Amino acid sequence: MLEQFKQKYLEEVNDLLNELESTLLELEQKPSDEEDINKVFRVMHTIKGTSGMYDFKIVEKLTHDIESIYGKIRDNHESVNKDIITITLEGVDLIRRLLNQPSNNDQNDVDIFTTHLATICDEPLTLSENSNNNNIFENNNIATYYIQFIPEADITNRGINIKNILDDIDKLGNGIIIPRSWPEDEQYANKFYMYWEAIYSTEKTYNELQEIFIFVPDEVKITKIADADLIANEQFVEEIQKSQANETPIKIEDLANLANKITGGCCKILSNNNKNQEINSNKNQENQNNEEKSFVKNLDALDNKANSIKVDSDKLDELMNLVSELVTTKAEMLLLADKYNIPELSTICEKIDKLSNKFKDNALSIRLVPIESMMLRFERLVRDLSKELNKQIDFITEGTDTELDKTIIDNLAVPLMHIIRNSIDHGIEPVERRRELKKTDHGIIKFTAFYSGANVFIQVQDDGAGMNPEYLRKKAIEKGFIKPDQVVTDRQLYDLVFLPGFSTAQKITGISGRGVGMDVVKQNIVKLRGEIEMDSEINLGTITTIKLPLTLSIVDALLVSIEETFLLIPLYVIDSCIQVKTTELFSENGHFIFENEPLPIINLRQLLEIEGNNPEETNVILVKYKDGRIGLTVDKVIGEHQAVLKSLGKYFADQEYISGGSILGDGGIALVLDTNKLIKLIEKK
Amino acid sequence: METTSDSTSYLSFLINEEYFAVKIQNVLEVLEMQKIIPIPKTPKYIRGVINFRGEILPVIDTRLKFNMIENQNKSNNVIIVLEINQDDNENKLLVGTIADSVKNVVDVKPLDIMLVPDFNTIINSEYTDGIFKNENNFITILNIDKIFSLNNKNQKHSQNQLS
Repeated sequence: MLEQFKQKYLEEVNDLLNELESTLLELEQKPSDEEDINKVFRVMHTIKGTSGMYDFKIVEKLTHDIESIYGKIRDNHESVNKDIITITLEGVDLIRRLLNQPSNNDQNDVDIFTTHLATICDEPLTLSENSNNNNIFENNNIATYYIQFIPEADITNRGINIKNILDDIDKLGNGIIIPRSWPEDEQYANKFYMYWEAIYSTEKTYNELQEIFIFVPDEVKITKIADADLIANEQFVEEIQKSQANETPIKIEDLANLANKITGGCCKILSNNNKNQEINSNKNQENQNNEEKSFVKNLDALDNKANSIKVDSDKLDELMNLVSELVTTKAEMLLLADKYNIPELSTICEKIDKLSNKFKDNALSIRLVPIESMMLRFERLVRDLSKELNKQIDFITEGTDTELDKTIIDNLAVPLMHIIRNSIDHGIEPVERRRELKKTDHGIIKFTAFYSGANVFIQVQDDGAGMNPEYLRKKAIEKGFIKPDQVVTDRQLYDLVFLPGFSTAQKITGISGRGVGMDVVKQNIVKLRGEIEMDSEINLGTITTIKLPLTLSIVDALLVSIEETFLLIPLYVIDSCIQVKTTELFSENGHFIFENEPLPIINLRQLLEIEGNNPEETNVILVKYKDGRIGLTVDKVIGEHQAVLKSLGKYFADQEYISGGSILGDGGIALVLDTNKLIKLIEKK
Repeated sequence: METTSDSTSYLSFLINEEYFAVKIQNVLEVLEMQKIIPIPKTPKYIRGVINFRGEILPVIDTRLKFNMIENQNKSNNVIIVLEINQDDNENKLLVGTIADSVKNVVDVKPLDIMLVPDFNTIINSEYTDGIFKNENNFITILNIDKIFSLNNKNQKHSQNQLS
């Protein structure tokens, strides 16, 4: 049981940390955004609370320290500086590590961190607002509050740590906490067995006090007794201590009267007459309204959460497998219905066909995840690396709401990291160099994602140094990739970058340029049935384009055959199909004119080395290619087929024209043509 | 795994009039010969793929792999579905291999397994795990993990292209 809760806790904290990270990065852009500062505070507070509950003392302490700093910043209406952001991010990393890979060194690491934290935060938080700070401290408005904290019986089940709340109260300033327990009576059955009264003198405002009870707004009552430091008064404290012995809670009127007596009117007392008390209660009312509002807000947030649920990705994979099976079985049944020609069965088949199509689309969409979900680490990467390398880089993102299959996203992060890293390290020049080139001090890395047909394109563009084709050529000759006299286009030179062992970094840095890299990137992309291409211009920058399929598992395709070989061509690449006399097709000059344009033809039979001759009439499948089309020859066009893609296995990993297989309704296997490769073939010619 | 305390069960089969055996625990199923869908542009010994329990299974022709002549009498041919351990990977790889015919299952004690003399069989001793005698026949135990490993596939591939 406990393990299960712990897992939940870890997931929750990880989510919170991710959220925190993006808030911090936002905060870095607008360092005085109070809402963001508050958010950091709240997230730290929540992590602290839950960590306490699950006895992660070390995390509790850490979050507490960070929380205090943000509390201070918020209360003083200051803005954060870079150092604070950096150390907070370090804190986030540390918490992550503590939770996910605990080690014996944990305590030590935390100690180092807190010491570091303390040194940073002892310095003035911001320079510009220093004078303001002093003002705030001079005008310290100390007020005394009476707090009644009456938890419900289920408080511990809600994941709230009472001790933390009491600690927070104690941190308000000077004061007294009086723990009390309820008499044994039915009427208190729904209450926690204890409740607390507290009287504190503090500089904090009413709203700030409420923050402490952000998770228990209905179980607390806060009343301001006086705009003065009553706790500093011995007589007051004595009286309070006396009443501590009483069984019943302190009455607010008594407190107000007492306060009045002590301050003797030299200080403004709020509750010394009826009128003021009314004001006070009005104020309370107002606050309550505020409280309600914030509560409603919280509910809204809860509602939002309820709209999405977390699902184990294994379950999704299982669902996809089942859908795949269903699609295959459906094809089997359609075949049967056709064979025996039973009209009733055909009707049902059609219905099942429609349903399974919907089912398939639905299941696929569940697996789609916005690219946004992995952007955070890139932002973080740009931030950290640019700092380390002392470069100024603006990271611009576009189209991050573009969705891709989860498997693709999962496998895309590492290659993309590498590409972005390259851009930061090798692409963007140091500031001095940029100035020489009359470029802006800030380098730009632009990340763009967009749909195009059944593909998603991702581009990473930088405005840095670009790749030097001459340098690449020299390097390629040196390493024996090309011959000295070989004619190679710039584009082909850029492609060399993807070859194993072709590192162009003139200096090996710890960040990139170890010679493994772009080839691994390419391998990863190819595994996802994607393509990668680089284009570059000296001193203008480099652009890396990745083309990916929307989903990996099911594709609508056209089933065709050559002799006994069944082939599938994805529908999205097909323009149209035509029938041509074979003699016309392969005329002497190799060009076939269709609709007044020459149409390049690939003789699939020849290419795939299938024996036999083309029939008199050849079916030509026109496949879209850039602005034009190319024709693929097949014997027969059988019809549309929903292909559940299966890998051919590792034995065929280096297979050139076939990207996978699919089981047909009759149990046979059709091979999926990789039209992109075929197009490349034409391009080479 | 073993049926009796100290002996191991092997499935024996015939290829080119020689007896071979694999550990029974590596055998998933023995299938009747069926239509194999050829994959274009692959080395000859990879005969193609078949549909095995809804998945695509590569089928290797052991005869061609070890440069033996192709079998003329194909009536008894079978596809033995084997589970291969890959050195660098925990995932098991499934491979179908073609045999002329399946003989029987034999229990062999470790002590009865001898080293393979290099001249004994057409298959390099590197790909074998020993040899034992059964009913007057010598049966060579194949190291299928090595034979079907992907690493040496490439090497074989180039050999085939050369020949």
